[in-house]
Order: sequence, then structure tokens, then C-alpha cells
Amino acid sequence: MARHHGGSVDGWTWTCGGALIMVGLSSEDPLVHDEVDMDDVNSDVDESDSEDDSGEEAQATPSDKAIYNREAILEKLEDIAWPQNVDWMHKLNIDHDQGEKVDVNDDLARELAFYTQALDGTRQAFEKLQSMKVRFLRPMDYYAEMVKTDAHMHKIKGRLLTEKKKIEEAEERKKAREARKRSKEVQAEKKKERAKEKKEQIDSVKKWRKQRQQGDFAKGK
Amino acid sequence: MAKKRKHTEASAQEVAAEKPDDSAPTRPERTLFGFKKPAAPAPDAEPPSAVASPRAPPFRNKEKVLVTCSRRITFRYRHLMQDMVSLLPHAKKDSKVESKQSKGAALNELVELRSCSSCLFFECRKQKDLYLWMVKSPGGPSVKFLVNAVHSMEELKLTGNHLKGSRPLLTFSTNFDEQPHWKLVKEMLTQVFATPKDHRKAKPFHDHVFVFSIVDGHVWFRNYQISVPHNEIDKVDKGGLDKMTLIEVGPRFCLNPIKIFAGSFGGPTLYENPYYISPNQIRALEKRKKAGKYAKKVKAKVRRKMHEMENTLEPDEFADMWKGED
Repeated sequence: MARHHGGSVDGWTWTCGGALIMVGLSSEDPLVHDEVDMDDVNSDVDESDSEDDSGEEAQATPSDKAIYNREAILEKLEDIAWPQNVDWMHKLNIDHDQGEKVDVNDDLARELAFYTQALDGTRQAFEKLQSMKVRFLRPMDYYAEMVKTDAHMHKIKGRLLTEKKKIEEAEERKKAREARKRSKEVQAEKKKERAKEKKEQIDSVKKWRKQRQQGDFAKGK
Repeated sequence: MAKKRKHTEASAQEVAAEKPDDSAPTRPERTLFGFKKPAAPAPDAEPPSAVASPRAPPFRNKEKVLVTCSRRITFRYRHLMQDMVSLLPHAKKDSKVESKQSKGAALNELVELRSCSSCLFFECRKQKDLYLWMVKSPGGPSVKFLVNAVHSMEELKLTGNHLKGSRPLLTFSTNFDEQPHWKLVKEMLTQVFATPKDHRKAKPFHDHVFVFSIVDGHVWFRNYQISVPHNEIDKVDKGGLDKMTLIEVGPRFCLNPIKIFAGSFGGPTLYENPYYISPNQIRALEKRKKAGKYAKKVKAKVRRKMHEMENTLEPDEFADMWKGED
């Protein structure tokens, strides 16, 4: 029922496509079945959606009219799919379980999820490739055209360097500022100390003199 | 007269009957040394068909992807398209296509003309919204996406780099297998983004990985460079897998599926995203909100006035208390 090949060329507009599918449904009458399918899908999506709705603008409730023709989709999938027993080397695909739901609005968590997916997938793939005894790693002396040109990479490097420099400069300024602040305190302390020392010395001299005088008297006795 | 026509028809039929006879004897297969002689019947008297059937032709991926865009596409989206071309060695570029009128037919023709088996068509509308058509060419299906959160490879924040034309590893999150339409999308993504094995422009090493992940009902795409310590080319160093790091290369984008059609660039709809709201509607909604602000103000003013009219203050009894003092 999915093969309305006549409509593929001029069935361009959405309405036309929709009309066609309606006709198909009513004529062959798997309508009841489809509706049941659609319902449970909607409820699935509904659950998942209610959680992450918070930051999204204008995320309305799902429209009930949405078409979901599962059988036709699966049929199409069978049509285009590669043979079942195709060698993994052709596909190079790895599935990765994300675990619990990822929060979309948390950039860091999201990117981390993607990164772990990539890392995990690559590890699995490399293990597979190693066990197949295939040459898959680039040798050190293999030079070839890269996706980004050297000029572009140079730009990136320049940017990284300037960023680093900026950070260093900022740190230096910060250090200098703190040092200046502290230097005042230090100077004040030093002054105090010096005054104290002077006083002590004078005191000690006075004391010594007194002692000497007393000592003289003692000696003179 | 009628007789004559009959006669001519009959002769035409004869010709038609003769024609297939003419082409029927197939030419023997050619080899380097001339025509191959039909193989002598095997001494075991085994029928040749029985020999041929177990050795079915090995699967060969001959995918070719046509990558093109509509006219008046903005530079950012154009760069994204160019990134896709550089990531897919089995892609063919084509000039921009006028986005109005019978675009489906024209594009189908174009894909066929370039002998491609699938197509990525970037359609830009209003210089703002980017739609991506991912199409399997002759018999469909086609998926229409809205593209969000676009970052091209040009951006300087993404510091990775990898060989041009090395075959990517594809990683999919497992929630692609939960629903039929995601399954279909996964199969199409695999076919479009996996570089065919032994493609003439492909390089024999694997140094980058694609991520396709469904979060919040959207497909997110990332591309990472793999950097792993190794001395040999068929083995990672001991413990190298743990030391492996990934560096993002770009581009980044996020695909929001809108519809799946059975044909290529059209045909009956198989799936419709119930959560999809077109960016036009979103903008209209925002505008309406802004418009509502002024209306609210006016309304509040009127209400206040009404309120004041309804409950007028009674004249103050102390109003002229101090009047006589001056």
C-alpha cells in the first residue's frame, strides 16, 4: 500500500501526499491497526517530552492528525536495506547505549554524552579491527590531504596561542595587582618593625648604661 | 484500405517478433585475449546454474550521494554543505537548484543524470531556516529534516583534523532501534554517511568517528578525530585504548525530522512528526506575544479608569481644615 509510485513525481506538495495516504488507508482498511500503533507511540513520546519541555519554547502537545504508517515504513526499510549478512567492514557502525536520558538544555552533559558515545564506539570498533588483523591506523610517515587545510590549522594554532597569551597576561596583571596591594602592607610593617628595633636598641643601650653605672658603683665600693 | 493496414500491422508484428531474435544471442564475455569461449560442459554434468547460485555476487556498496542546495542559501549553510562534501568522498557536488516550482521532478532528474543513488538537498528558506532532504533516489524514501544548531568546520574552536577521505566509524545511540521511523532514518544515515569500502577516493585508515545520537527527538551529529598512541598500523599500543582521546573536528548540526515520504522528493507521507512546529509558527507566536504586551498595557489602563470611575473617592472632610488659618 505504500507504493504509490505514480505520486512520487508530482505528489510534491504535502497536502497531496497526505491525501494519497488517506486514500490508501481508506481503501485497504488497516486503519484500526494503525491508530492503535499511533496511540502507543504518542504516549511514548509524550512521556519523554514532558521531562525536557522546560526550556523549550512553544513545545505544544502532539497533533493527533500526524500520520504514522508503521507497516509501510518497515516495508520501505526492507526495500532499501543492505543484505542482512553484509560484512561489518562495509558499515563500520557501532551502537551505544546512552543510559539514562540526556538533558538537552545542559550543554556540558549533552556534549559529554556524545563524547562518551564516540569514545566507547571507537574502542569497540578498534578492538574489532584489531581482531580482524586489518591495517587501520595511519602510519607516522603517511602524509595526505587533510579535511582542514594547513592554512586553516595555522589559524587555529594562532588563535590558541593568542588565547593562551591572553590568559597569561591576565594572570600576570592579577599577580602584579596583588603584589602592589601587599607591598603597601609590607612596607608599613617594615617601618613599624624598624621603629621598634630602634626603640629596643635605644632601650638596651640605656639599660646597659644604667647597669654599667650601677656596676661602677659596685666596683667602686 | 483496412486490409492494407492489417497487412502492415501484421508485418510490423513480424518485425517485432524477429527483433528480439536478433538481439537474443548474447555476446560471449570478453577477456583480455579476445572473446571468451563458452565454457565446455563440466565432466560432472552439473548444471551451470547450480554452480552459480551458491556464489552469489558479493555485496558491493556503490553509493553515490548528490549534494546540492537551493538558491539564495546563506553562507553559513553553504559552508555546512561544503563540509559535507569534504567529509563524504563518495559525494558529488552540483550547482544550486531553484527552490520553487516542481523542484521534486527537477531534482529527481538531476540525481538520475548524475547517476547517484541518494541525495542530500539543503533547502534554505527566508534566509533563515535550513531544511535538509535526505533521499534515496530511484524508489524513495525521502526524509525531510529541519536543521538546527549549525556549526561549520570553519570555526576556529574545533581544533581537530583528519585525513580527507578516510572512512568514518559510525556510532548510533541505541534509541534508533526503538521505533520504525528511527530505524529507517538509521539505515539511510548509514548508507549516506558510510564511505563505500574500497572507494577510489577513500583512504585505507580510520581516524575519525561520526556520532548520531537521538536526544529530545532530534538527531545530533558530531565528528571527532581519533588520536591514539600507536607504532604499528594494525595494532594499538598496549593500553593505548585507554589513552585514546577524541578531538572534535566539526561540523555540528542537529536534525529535526519533519516528514518521511515514500517516494524520492515526494510521494505519500509515511510519517509526520507530531511535535514539529515550523519556525514560521514559532516566530509568529513570538511576535504575537510581543504584540500582546501593548494590548495588555492598554487594557490595564482602561481597567484602572473603570475602577476609578466606579469607586470615586468621597470628598475629604479635612480638605479645607487649614484654609482659614492664613
